[in-house]
Amino acid sequence: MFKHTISELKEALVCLQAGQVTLAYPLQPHPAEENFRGKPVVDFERCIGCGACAKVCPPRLIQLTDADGYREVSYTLGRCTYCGSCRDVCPAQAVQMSPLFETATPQIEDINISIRLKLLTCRECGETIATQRMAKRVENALHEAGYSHTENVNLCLSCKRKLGLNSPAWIQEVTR
Amino acid sequence: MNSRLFNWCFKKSIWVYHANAGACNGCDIEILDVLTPYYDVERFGIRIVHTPRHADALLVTGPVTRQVRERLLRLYEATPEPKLVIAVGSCATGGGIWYDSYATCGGVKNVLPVDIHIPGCPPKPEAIVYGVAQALGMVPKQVQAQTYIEE
Amino acid sequence: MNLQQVSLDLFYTLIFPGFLFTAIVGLLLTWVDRKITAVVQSRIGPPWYQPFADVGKLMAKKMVAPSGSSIGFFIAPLISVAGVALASALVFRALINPQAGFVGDVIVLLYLMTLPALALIIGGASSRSPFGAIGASREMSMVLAYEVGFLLSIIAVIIQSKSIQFSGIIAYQAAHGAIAFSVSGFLALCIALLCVQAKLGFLPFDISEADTELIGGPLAEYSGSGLALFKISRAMMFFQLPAFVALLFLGANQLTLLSLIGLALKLLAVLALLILIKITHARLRLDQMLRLFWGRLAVVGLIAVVLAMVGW
Repeated sequence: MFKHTISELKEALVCLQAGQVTLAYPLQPHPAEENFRGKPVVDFERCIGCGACAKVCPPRLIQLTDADGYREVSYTLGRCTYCGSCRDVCPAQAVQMSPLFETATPQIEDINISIRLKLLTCRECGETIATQRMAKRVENALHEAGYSHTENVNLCLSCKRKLGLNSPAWIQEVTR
Repeated sequence: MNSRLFNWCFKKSIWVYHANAGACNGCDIEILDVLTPYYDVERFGIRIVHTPRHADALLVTGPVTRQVRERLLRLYEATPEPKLVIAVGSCATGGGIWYDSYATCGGVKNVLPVDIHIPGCPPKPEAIVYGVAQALGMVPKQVQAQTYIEE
Repeated sequence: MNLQQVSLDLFYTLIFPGFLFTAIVGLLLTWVDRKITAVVQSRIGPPWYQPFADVGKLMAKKMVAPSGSSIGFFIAPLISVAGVALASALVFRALINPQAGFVGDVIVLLYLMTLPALALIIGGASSRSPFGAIGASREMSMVLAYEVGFLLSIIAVIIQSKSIQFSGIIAYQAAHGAIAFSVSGFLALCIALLCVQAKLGFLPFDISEADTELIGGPLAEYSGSGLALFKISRAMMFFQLPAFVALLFLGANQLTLLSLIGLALKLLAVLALLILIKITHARLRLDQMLRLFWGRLAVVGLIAVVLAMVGW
């Protein structure tokens, strides 16, 4: 035991050369490194309410509810596993994984996000189709592809089928 | 004066007991990381103790599985007053991926009264230090619920 | 037996240099221990008021006693504090006022300094927990081991200084130089340092209170004010035992300021050596420790006693 003692005391003196390695956190900020997946943040102007993120989320914490003419996209981030799948599938690049990791809170409801987007109803039968932003996105895509007739975007599927049966000229123009 | 003195003593000296309630050990490894010289929580008076009788705070990880639920309640009762319960990790705060499983209770908040939640999968050691510092009143809370209504 | 004498004795025992003075200085020395540990481990340690905050918080917590625990559970912390307070009062009274000692007070001091270990044994055995029982039995084996070495080193000092009164030993050192400068005195000092390491419960000899093995051993079921009193008595031993070793072995001390500063430096040097050994060693097994103390240190102690009798 005593041979061990002398060598350990020498080691202790060597360790003193390392100085102090302690970070000054939390008295000073210490940002996360690059590509760190922290709390998801949603750009409210870009979200179209499509629900792709809700389909891929592993703990199923993103819920879409349609009520009162609004679609509510709600994130209960208490059980988020920070996998980043919602960011990967979002067609509008609205969801990003921010570098925020200081998310401790006494009430876990404090990190929830709730987005309400207006719903689009069919002009013939009044059924809910999708959000208005999704319809706008489809219109923009059609315009960019060269189609000028985008007035039937606000018809639900059954009404669009009925329209197609009753106006063969419209079908001929599109399929030419 | 007495209670102000004791409040000061509680803010400066917290002894934590780490209770694993069915966790995958990711959060437990991050808690071990917090006890290294890099983050040095002893300067805030925080110390790991190995029995709940000596503890002031319980650091609970894991969604509370059915088998561990009764033992976790006994650990909570064995800790003398006043005490804190700190839920570390996404499994403890909301049940994680097992939020609706038959085998878990869906998070510590369904079993014990939680004082502070620290989400993360696993939370960075800085996030755990931030959470405990918030429980001691050293740093303010940074998150709040966000709502957006399109008009 | 008049009131003035009794109240003066109570003052010496409870305030200075007894319980209060030793407790405050001892808690500051536990801070020194934690700071040295932190510096060697390349980190910042706790602030200077940390031990006071710990003890204050423990006093404020509710004390929970296991059902079926006997009266020994509550008496044990009080025995521990009382033993160390009386021992430190005796040691420093003999330093301040040489006529205040009595013949044989070194023997009384040795008895008083085993009281904290006895209190741990009583507390652990009466706490109705398997960890307490194992811790108590380990502490019993350890006491039998290190007390032998400690007694042999004190006997070597007594033989050399031809006095069993504390003030007599100090006077001998004032006349003949420090006892540690003689061969038998040096051997006795080494043995005494190792025995003090075991008494204080420092690694590599903290076998009874192994935190990760035995969950605190005898202290496993203590909480609140009982645990606070055990921590205070441990802190008081931080001050009293190195001071005892410094006064017995490392040279005489009068009441002059220079001499008191010298005593403080000697105490800090002894404590720093014990702390450095604590930080750099792992825990010994009980049988390894018993073999060390009974097999090797007792033999060295006997050699020291024989050399002291011969006159070296």
